[in-house]
Amino acid sequence: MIKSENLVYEYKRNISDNKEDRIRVLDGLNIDIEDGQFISIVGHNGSGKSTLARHLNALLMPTGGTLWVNGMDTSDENNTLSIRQNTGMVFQNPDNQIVASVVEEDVAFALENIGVPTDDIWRRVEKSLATVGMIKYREDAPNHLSGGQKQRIAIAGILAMKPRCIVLDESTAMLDPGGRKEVIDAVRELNSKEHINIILITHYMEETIYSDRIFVMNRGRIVMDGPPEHIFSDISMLKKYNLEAPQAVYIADRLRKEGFVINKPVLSMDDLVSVFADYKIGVGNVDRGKKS
Amino acid sequence: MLRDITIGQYYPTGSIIHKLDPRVKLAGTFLFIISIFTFENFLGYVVSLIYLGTVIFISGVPLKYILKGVKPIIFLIVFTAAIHLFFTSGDDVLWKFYALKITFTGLKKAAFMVIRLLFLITGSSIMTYTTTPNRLTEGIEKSFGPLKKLHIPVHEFALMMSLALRFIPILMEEADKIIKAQSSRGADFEEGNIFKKISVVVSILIPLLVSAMERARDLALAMDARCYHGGEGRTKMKPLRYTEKDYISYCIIFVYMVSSVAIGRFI
Repeated sequence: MIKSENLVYEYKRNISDNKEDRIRVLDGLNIDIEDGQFISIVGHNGSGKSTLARHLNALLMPTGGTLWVNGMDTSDENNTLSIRQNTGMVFQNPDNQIVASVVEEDVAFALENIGVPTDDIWRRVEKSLATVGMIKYREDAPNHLSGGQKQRIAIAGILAMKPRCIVLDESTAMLDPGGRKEVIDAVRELNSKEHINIILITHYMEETIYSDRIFVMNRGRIVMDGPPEHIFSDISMLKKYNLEAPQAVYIADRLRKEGFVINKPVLSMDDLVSVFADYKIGVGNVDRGKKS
Repeated sequence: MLRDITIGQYYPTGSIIHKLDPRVKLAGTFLFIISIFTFENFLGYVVSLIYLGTVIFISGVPLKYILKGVKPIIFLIVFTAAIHLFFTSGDDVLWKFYALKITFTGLKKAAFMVIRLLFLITGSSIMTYTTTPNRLTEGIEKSFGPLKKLHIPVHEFALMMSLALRFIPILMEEADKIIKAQSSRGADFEEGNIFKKISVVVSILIPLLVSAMERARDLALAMDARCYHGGEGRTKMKPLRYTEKDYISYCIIFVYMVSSVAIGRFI
């Protein structure tokens, strides 16, 4: 559904009056994302992950190569509106993306823009607010809600467009742990129930463990690509790109180095707990299991 | 503390005036203001007073609240009255003191001015008390819709207004935070002479301005991402629709206009 060929994005920066510097943010990306997948994109600051996200929504156009979203070339301006309908985007700051002073009117904003008839707007707003569990706040003012709730409203606003893909551009970065969980749970449910493609851009490795695929970006290139078990099996490689594996992965790795036998892949704390539980009932070598 | 400030002074009581279409209230206020400037005798104002009093009574907004709106312009009223009182020329002199004189015409003119200004303020404040800022914006957009043909960006202005209203509480909160941050670094908002105070205010305004710019950029991007492409082909979730009570109100406004102007000018 999303496919790119040698995607390049660069911009010019004036160093002095007549000298220009070309900065290459995306450096020949070749990606191929199938329908209904949950993709995470990680990378340290300046790796180009947000720039990539903005290409998916035609907010930025490639300066080289081609990107197709749902078969449409993003550099063709005739496609822009239908691409944006197809691929919604949730931004980082929850306050700065809410347009209206009433929750339900904000959810309706995109529908009003694309010219959906009034009766239809009401039906779709109600449905998408119910999907993210915010229906009882429909008449509230957004500034009284928590960050997680605001992001769920932003998701509802996109959902109402009936998109096939939702891009979350560091949407959890400004939230507290509770709010982060709210948002991640909401998009996981959309992915599994409605088969909406999720592209999650994040700093928090813990959020990526549920994804089908993880892209690790560095200096405008995708340097690692694979399922979480694969990506997190090589902690030293991640370190090279200034990334930390989730805590559970890290602990499991240390334990393995200490001589414990852990056969299952460990990604979350729950995995780790179940590994410990196995030790307790005597599946592994018990003698060293007490201290850790 | 800053968060409690409300713009537009909406006072919800759920009365029938509150439920009227904003366009009716806009037209009503506009015509009312025109009417009070056409009268030539006091009888017209009696009709206006009865009309205004009835509207205030139905709206359920306490009179105390409405008179509060008059307070800031008391000086203006007194000043205008004084000018009219002392500097109107005429033969029917009532009182004279060197260059100052009060004529009967001047007295009448001053009284008219006071009544007109009072009615102007109370009449328009009853509109803002009974209409939420957003509904008012919608009403303005719809009422001035025909101006789009003259290439006046009516929709854009209305959108700007509603976005500004949406961001007022956010920027208030932000200002609160900046004030705290600056005080914690030793900025003193209480003491010092006027120049010192101004320089301290600048230390709030500049960070606030920068953050407002950043928010505006984010918001523009978010609106783009949600398919915003101008007012063309837009539909509304809550379009303004006239109901029976709106038509009846238009009739009442019409009857008022005809009767008050007839009484005020020709009797």
